Amino acid sequence: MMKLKKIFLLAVSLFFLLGLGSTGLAQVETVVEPRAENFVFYVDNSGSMGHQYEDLGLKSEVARDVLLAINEDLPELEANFGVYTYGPYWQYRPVTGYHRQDMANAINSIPLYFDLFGRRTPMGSDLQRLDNDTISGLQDRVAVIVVTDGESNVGPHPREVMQNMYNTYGDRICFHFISLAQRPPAGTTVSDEEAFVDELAGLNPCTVKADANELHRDFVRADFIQEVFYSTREVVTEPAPQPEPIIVPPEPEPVEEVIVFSNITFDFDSAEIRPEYEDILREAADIIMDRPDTTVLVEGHTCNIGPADYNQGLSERRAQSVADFLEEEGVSEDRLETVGHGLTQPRFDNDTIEGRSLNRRVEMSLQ
Amino acid sequence: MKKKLGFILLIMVFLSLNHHQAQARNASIVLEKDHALHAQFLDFSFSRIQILNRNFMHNPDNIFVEPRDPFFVARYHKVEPASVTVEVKKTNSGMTPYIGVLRYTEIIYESNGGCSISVVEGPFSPVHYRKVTEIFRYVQNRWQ
Repeated sequence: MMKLKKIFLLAVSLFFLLGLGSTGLAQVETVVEPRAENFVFYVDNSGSMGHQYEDLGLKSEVARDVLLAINEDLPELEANFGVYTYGPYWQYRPVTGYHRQDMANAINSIPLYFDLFGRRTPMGSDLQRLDNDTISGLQDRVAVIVVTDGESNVGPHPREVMQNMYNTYGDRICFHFISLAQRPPAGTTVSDEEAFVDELAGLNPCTVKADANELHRDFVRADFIQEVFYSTREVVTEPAPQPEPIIVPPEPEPVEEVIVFSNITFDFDSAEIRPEYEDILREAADIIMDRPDTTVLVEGHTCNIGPADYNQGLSERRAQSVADFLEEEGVSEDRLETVGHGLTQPRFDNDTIEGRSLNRRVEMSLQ
Repeated sequence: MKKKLGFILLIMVFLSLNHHQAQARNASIVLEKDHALHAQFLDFSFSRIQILNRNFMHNPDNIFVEPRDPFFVARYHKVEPASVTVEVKKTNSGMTPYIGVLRYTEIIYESNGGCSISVVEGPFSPVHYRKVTEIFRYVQNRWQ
């Protein structure tokens, strides 16, 4: 009993001392800043969106899935969001403060299945209506995210309408594109629909354009989100300088050994190893098998895009997937341990596309 | 007796299969250093090192400083290009005919000082070594 009391008193004293000592620690805070005060989703809901898009499903279904995924990955932004369609023109959510579930409900309300006959694509005229009814009344910056399959077959050409809006609003407005344009037919390099989207995207250098089939990859979507919706910066608070102490040079620590894989090994939002990357994982298994004296800690990591708990789960599943593969290749189960770190242990700068790509990785530490 | 023979036969088949599996796994051939792909992979590897070095959260252009009572510690990460070794292997796989194994050492350098501003001037010493292996595949005329 006396011994427990002594241990307790010692622990309390240590906590007290640590608390005193920690008053001067440097604080590093990541600040998220939206790239616009207003984000407007302008989604094609015309007859052509009822056609098949590659092997991913109907264009309307793919558009919905991509928008839901983007909404899920967005950080909580101090900005207004709205959801509108064209062909026909409809408001599914007015441009108001961001609310994730509200946005998801609005996206899910857009019809997926409809009569294709007579359902034209008035992209330009409906954009004029969006401008008159909504955009003209918005303050500060506006980003319009256009979901299009590259068709517009009635009314003014959207190129003219967009150019007029650029002339009216200047730097305050930018159009971004999520393209569901069909791939070119054999013998051509660009389809008419792709060329249409490229022409609109080329009106202003601010534009970010991505293909819907690429946005299924989490790292592509992550980059798109950061380029369209927000930027980050770190704010560091330095503590007061301390008096000159005696310097003791540090001793080098033991060498760490690790095999690193980029998350390109996986499909987006998936922990399944892509078949074409199995051969390089097999090489890793060989390296590990040649080191029977070691245990292997498989660690999953992500970049800082997306909710923390989503990234945590994904990193855990990917680490487990790699461990399962190693076991199938002959690495003994009792040598393997897995852990997911999510976005908590970046090694690289999350402010750059390269850095975020490098942070999305699985590491196998030989211990 | 028959059962015993059958069991022994089963064990022999199992062992033989494992041996062939091991042989197949180790059947990839290391290309000679004068092979064109080896030179190409070496170029790719040095580019990779440049990408790593400019993107470390804390590199010589963005040194991290934190208090470590009673001093300040400055730290950055760097891969020394001289630590790079590469190996290119021809595999038996149709999907990935060649793989490249890149090995390098990432070093954490630290400097200690009494002032948070002057500590970044150094001198810096290596305090931690991290031997990294990365494996790439060669497909459609490029390394990925």
